[in-house]
Amino acid sequence: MRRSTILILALLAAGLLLLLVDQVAGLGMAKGALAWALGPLQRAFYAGGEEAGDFWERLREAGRLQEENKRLWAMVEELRSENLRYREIEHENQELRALLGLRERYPELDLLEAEVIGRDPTGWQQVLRVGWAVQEKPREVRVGMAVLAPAGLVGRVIRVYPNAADVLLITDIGSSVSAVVQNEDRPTGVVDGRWQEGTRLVMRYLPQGAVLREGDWVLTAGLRLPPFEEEAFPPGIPIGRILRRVTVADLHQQVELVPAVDFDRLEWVSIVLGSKSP
Amino acid sequence: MVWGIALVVFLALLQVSLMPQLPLLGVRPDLVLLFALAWGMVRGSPEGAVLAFGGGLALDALSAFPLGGHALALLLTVVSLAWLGASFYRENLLFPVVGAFLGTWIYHLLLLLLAQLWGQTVAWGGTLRLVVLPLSLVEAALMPLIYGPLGWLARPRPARAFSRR
Repeated sequence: MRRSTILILALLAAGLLLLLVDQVAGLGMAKGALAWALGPLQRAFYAGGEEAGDFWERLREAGRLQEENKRLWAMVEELRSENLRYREIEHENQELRALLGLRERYPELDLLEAEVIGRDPTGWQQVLRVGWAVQEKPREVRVGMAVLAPAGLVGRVIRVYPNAADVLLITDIGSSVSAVVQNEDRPTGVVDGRWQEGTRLVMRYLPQGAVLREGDWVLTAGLRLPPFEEEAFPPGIPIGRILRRVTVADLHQQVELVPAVDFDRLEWVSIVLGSKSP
Repeated sequence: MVWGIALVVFLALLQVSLMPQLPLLGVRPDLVLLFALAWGMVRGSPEGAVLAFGGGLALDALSAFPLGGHALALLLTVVSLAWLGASFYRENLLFPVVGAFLGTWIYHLLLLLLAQLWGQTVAWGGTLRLVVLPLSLVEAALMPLIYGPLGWLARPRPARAFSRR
């Protein structure tokens, strides 16, 4: 057998073995070690990406405001680098203030602030990686814990590493959240992710006679759904607003929602570690 | 080869951090896949396989996917395309373009299959139509930009270039 064939077969066997061992015994430690080793680089790259994204956005605006920009270009050039730095600091400040606001709004919740440091590489899974600073007294993050942003519900933790975790967004097709519509009727249902099917969120199992209006807020109901019976989203967290009713031949009504959170611009989140004891 | 592995890890970091913030025509190109495919086309399937496996492991470490998932999917994609490509005339410019298009489909079909085997919810129709189809077109268009310079940088030495195999 040729040497190249042996090499390819050995790599194939190694890949299969890793997958099987991860499935049977779990390679959380090994993956955690790799994630830990690459974590600082990932943070630095993500921060660089944010600046590059801001820069790209400004270039697009420049196209629309070309005439005005011509006059101001010299000044912009001079101030740009300084301005970029200050804007980043100010933006981060605002994000952290908003997260502090979250603590004031939900004083009963024990929250851990985390920074978005990466996104799913395939583009078809709605998963974020978040990281937090090393703490003197490490607080335990577990699979199933809810993740919030100042605007509302973000998702739930699906994998935990040392000082980092993967978060499945509520828009992913694998996500389900028990929810209630905030109006006089308060009908309950389940909000499912639909990003992979071209929409973002749908709320299902709403009773046929229930009052539903465009723009009504939908909040978490706090009920436990499988497979996370142990963990529940805290009640009263905004999920989104009703966009339109979807016609289905069913006993129930179904509505499409606009998420409360802008997931593309998410930079900081809070993980709900639990409720504070009274 | 060593700088190839370093570069593929660097590209994996870019893929999870920079690309989601700078989508190209609404999609996030698979930099690791494109680079490993191009390397495999230029330098042969064994070297392409090593880069695919290394880059895949880096992606596994940086994503929620099970360890070995990206590595296996990338490896199979690069090796299968090298095998398919062996029957084509490699100097043909269409070869890398068609290779990137097919490679994107093979890679994502394998990942979706693995995700389903791992019990994740997979929306086959929507994902293939809304994500993989546009992504395969963008990656086919991007491939000459990677294949061209890589082909020049990693070209065989002149003494070998004129020798008959």
